[in-house]
Amino acid sequence: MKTPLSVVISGTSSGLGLEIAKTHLQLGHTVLGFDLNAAHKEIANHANYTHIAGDFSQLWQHYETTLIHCDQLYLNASIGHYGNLQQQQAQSVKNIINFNLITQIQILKRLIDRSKKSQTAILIGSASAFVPGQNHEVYAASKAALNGFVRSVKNEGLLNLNIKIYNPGAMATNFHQQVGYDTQGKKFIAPSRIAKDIVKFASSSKTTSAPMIVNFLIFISRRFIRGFIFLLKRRLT
Amino acid sequence: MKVLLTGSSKGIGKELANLLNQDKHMVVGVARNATNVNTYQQIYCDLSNENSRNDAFTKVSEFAPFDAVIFNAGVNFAKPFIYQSTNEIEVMNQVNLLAPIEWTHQLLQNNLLSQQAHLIYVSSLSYQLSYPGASFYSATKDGLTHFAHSLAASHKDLNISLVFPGPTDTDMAITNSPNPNSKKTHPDRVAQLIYSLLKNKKMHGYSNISHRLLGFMGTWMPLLSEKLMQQIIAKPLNKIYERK
Repeated sequence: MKTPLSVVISGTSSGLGLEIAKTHLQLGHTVLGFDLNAAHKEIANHANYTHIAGDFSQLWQHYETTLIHCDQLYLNASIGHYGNLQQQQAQSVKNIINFNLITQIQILKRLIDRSKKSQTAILIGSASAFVPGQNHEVYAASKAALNGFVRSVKNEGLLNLNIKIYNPGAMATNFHQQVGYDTQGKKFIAPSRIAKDIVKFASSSKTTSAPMIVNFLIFISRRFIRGFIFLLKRRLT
Repeated sequence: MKVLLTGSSKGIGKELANLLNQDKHMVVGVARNATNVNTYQQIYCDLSNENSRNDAFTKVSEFAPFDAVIFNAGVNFAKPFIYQSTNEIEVMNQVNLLAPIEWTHQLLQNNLLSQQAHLIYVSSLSYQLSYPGASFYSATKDGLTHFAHSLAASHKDLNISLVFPGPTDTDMAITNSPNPNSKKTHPDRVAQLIYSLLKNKKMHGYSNISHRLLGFMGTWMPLLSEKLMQQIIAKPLNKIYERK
């Protein structure tokens, strides 16, 4: 029988974070979840689940020891803005970069500096890191930066920390609704499907991954498809 | 043409400011080491400091509207991620990523650009060709490049260009190179490239054919190029840090 893992996940009150937490709880693992909101009723009373409500970018430092001792850390929570760049608040620009990129990097840095055991950190990127993020330029930039970081750092051999990144496309989640997608349409994947794939990915030897065939094609074609799509968009519009 | 140029006191920026100035363009330079230059305006700004950025932007705004903005300033602390300090990470984030994004946002929001203005972002060859020691630097340049691509897709009223310099003979590259004596491109060459992009409005620019080939290789053969970079850079870099 496998030893139950201790897992820490940010953003567990809804969407993808909630589904990742549910998947791990079903596997008998213990989960510590962080979210701005209270715990979701589906997992709030689970014996193996502990919830910390508050801003993860501030709170994580108080729980550093827990983060250092966990087996898997999912840096799932992120913030976004959908709309014209001019209409975006200056503070929102800063918050997106600070929360989606700097907080994650600071946590990874701390784990590398202090952790003595072998850990896996799973960053949640986005498919928007591979195609131009029209009307969500800053969010797309933050996710592209995370991918650039993982790509570069994986060759450095970090000894105690295995850093991975998973790049989901738009899902039927509150987050994507908030940033302007009509997630009621059939084309959006249920987060529960993605969560199962992410949990498998976390224990695999792969460093980067993306779900479903379309996202996968975008992913493997990496940068050259960006230029192609960009030129196509410019020509057609 | 009225041009706003960041990082104008040294390296590529200094050469570019001189080139633009020679051709009678009005240059508004922004630099940490702003010294008195009689031929063009230079404004002091430490881009890694938010207050300094805000003060400088207020001064810069007085010269608007700009026909071109060149986000040239950049900083690198090339070392394995485990040896990078949180302060170094923060400085790279502020200078390489947040400052150009914030200023682009403010220039657009406050209508400080002229019609069909040209925005040029100086990225890095690390966008195509990641190498050990470039972990967070590479992240900032990937973020900046993707921001520029996204901006180009949503703002067809703007001209957007990206420059991907490889190793250049500047103070920054010499300080951070594991092999300071290796062959590097003269900053004047990169400055000429940026100036040519201002004229021909091309989207992407490489300083020479070898950098273009390296970029091509990094894009199409990422595994092979990563192995190659490990051989060329990882070993000398690790030796340096083992000694320290």
